[in-house]
Amino acid sequence: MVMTPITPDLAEQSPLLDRQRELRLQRWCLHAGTFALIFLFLGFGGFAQFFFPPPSPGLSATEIAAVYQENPNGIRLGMLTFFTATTLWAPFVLSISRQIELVTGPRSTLPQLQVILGIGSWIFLIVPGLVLAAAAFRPDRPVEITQALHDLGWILAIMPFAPFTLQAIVLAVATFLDREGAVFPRWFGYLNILLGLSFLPGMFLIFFKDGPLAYNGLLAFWIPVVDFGIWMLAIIVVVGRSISRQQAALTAR
Amino acid sequence: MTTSPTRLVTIWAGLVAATVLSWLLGVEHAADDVFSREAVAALLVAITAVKVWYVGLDFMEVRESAPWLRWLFTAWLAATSLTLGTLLVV
Amino acid sequence: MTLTGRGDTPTREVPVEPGFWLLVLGDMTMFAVFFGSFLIEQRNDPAVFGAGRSDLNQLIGTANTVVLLTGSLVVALGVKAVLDGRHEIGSRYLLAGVGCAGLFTALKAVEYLQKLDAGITPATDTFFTYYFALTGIHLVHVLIATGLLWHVAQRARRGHAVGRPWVQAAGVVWHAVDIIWLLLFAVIYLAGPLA
Repeated sequence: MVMTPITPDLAEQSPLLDRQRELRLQRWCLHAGTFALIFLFLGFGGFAQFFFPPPSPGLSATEIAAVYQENPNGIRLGMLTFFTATTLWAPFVLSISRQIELVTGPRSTLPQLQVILGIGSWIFLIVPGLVLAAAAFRPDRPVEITQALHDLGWILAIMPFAPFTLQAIVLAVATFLDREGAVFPRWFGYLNILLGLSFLPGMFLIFFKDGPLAYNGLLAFWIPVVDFGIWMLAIIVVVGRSISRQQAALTAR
Repeated sequence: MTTSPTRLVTIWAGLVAATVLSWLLGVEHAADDVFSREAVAALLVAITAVKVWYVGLDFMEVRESAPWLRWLFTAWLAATSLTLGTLLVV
Repeated sequence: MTLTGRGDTPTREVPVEPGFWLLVLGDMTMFAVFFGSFLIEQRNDPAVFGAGRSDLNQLIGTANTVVLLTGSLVVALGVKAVLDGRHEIGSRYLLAGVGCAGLFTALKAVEYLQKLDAGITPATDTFFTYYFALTGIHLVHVLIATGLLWHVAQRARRGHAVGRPWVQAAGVVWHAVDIIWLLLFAVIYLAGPLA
């Protein structure tokens, strides 16, 4: 069976209604990103209480196990919410890719690279959520095992920020290729460089049990997490505006 | 461009002098009989703020650029110096 | 300064473009947050921070400050020259800036090696995590600034046209790196408790 991909040029040949439907779909994909952002923070920080404060890798196994014993259902619900959010990451990534295509054309390198990176970063949202859910599954198990699962979950969540950095670089490149700023405003390119690079110091968390580079520290946790939220917000705003502009152009015909 | 090479060299000389002064104050304890460590710290932050000011306005040419940028840079410098100074001294 | 606009009112330009300053000031702010966090930790553990500071090579720290300031001077002169069309001398000034960066890096390497020789690593204590992390991140910034200077200097030297924004950007990034170092030097090396 031959599958005809719905590419912008094909949609262009279709009637106006198809083009409008395509844009509405893109907007729903973007909305998925809004919910992803809310659920990621609500799940991790809110229900699981992992922001208040993030547990230090320097704590003893007993102290780490206590975190899971004191709030097992909060953490379970939090990770469930977190995991749901990661499912919504997929359409979000595609909505971004569609905008890059407007700059570089369909079936070109940058949009597809962004999708691949988006899938890669997707993995590093799903897996830690599941691992930390498992950590909260039997709080009364031997404390060393809980600590090991906790470490694994946090390392999975915080250490591999590099795919996100590369996604940000791709977006910066797309912005600077968009010379008229038809899709991406110039400030967005610079913001992506700033935020994307701020994700990187955390990869060294593996050497530290305390201090700013530990997985609860300023450089490894707080700055990347806050910057990640700002990054998602900026993308939602910019992509949303671009979709609106295209919708307006359609109705103006 | 209003910042002439002569002015740049003069400012550079002043910055180097301020650096040496800072080193004397901070490391060599030159003023420790007169000032407490906290006062020295405050002085160092103030000297540094002045240095940053000159690098920004004359070397970075913020002085000659649009007013909003001058204001933003000045505000940034003021906020940063005050915050860091307070954390050091209070 | 570009003179455009209506009547007699000159419109002052923003070097490179407005969005660029989001990156530059944003980066400088991020360092300010790092320094603030350092100072908060210092208040919690002045003994460790005092001891760490006493182990720092203040001579190299001061020398490096002078090196970067000198770099700023030659870079400012170089940017001015290149923008005025004096590409030959401009590129020489910019390459002098590259030289300053090289000297800074060499001194930094000596400093790091001295620490490692003494058995001090980023994991030794919180002070040294901050010291290595912040000077390390700053060093990466120095290398980026150097790359920009090199790019502009090479294009100017070969007589190619060099885009005004690129020349300005190279200068601004260098000076931002200098400004960050001035703050770092004061906060980590000079001020605060000594053992």
